[in-house]
Amino acid sequence: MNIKLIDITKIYNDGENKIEALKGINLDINEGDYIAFVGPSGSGKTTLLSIISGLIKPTRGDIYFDSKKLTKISDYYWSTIRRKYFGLIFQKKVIIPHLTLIENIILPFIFSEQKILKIDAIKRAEELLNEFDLYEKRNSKPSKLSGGELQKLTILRAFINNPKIIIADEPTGDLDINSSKKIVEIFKKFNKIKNLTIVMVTHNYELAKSAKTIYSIKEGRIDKILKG
Amino acid sequence: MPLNKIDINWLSIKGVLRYSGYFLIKILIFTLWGLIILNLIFSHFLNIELKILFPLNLIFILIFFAFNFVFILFAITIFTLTSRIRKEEFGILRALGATRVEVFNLIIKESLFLPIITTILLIILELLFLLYYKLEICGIFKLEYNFNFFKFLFLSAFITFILKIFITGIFLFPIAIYYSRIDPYNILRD
Repeated sequence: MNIKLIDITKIYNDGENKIEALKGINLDINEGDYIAFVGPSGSGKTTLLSIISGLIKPTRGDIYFDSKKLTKISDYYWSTIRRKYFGLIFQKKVIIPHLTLIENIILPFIFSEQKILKIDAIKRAEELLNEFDLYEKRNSKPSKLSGGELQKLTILRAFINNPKIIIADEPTGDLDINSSKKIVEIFKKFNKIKNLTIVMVTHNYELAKSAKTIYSIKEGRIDKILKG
Repeated sequence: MPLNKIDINWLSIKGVLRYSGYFLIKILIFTLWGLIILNLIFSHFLNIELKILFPLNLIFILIFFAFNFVFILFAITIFTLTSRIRKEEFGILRALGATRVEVFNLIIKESLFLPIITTILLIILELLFLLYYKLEICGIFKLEYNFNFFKFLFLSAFITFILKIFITGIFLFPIAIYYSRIDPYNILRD
């Protein structure tokens, strides 16, 4: 599964002002890649991840997904691609407040093509919760969890459905050093063993260092390749 | 059992349970509404003089309109009250791969539980009401208790159910369309 971005430009209209968030990005993401984007706030990193995952459409440029041009496909088709291939970790910890921790984690199965019984999904989630020392809190409501625990929840939710590509926006933002290290290990392990493609934005030096390729983004452009 | 599967029904049941407080108020309004309609058609089935029940019906008609007004206000505000949380919920579902149609269906399904539950509730209350009328009203006015019980029960339940679906539909469809068109990017960015 390969993704190719050609001359991606994104312009936001803020009243009369036009903000050019991305200026002609060209990028190849191949299966098994482990890419980190670093750069100052407002440089366009999150916009780039959102375009890759189909949450927003570029103003100009083309996206190819396994040689299929996705630039002008419908919202419906993007949804089916997201549910099938993507695991998304957002900067904002968005959860469904009335579901327990474990129920939030198994959410991706609702739209998955893998038809799975709740009991099996819970088993799979419990295995992941064990790894993150969250097993005891599996039936807690999100309001009882700390910021770091919610962050872990969103990470586990991205992994539960065996996606082909993980798109992560600041995955270690609210985590302590030990938990961040754990995330680094998990990302490395999944990338190596399952050949999982990981594309992330991070300010965490350790996490960025674990990537095979590091791109520095500045003012909407890929400024330089720091590694890879 | 829908709760054994992880599908949209499981999520909608969870949603109904979570928002049962709001739904409970709706149930109350719907049930009272049903009882009022029941009362309006009651005299016809009882074959008694309208004159006797007229003051009673007038009060019920006034309550009927008052509750209609409250319900319309409530139907509009039910989603706006929980707007931010619900927007985030639908935003995350869209980001996880839910299509617009699936989000639309989820909202409609959640809301369809209500007319079904209230119709069942209404039938139970109707039975109690009938007993009350038989024992009290007919007793007081020394009226002959003579009407088709099952026809009455079916007709009143059917009319109120159709009305519920109709009113819910009028207010629900625009809301469901609005929420299904939520842009996940705007919801998920900080």
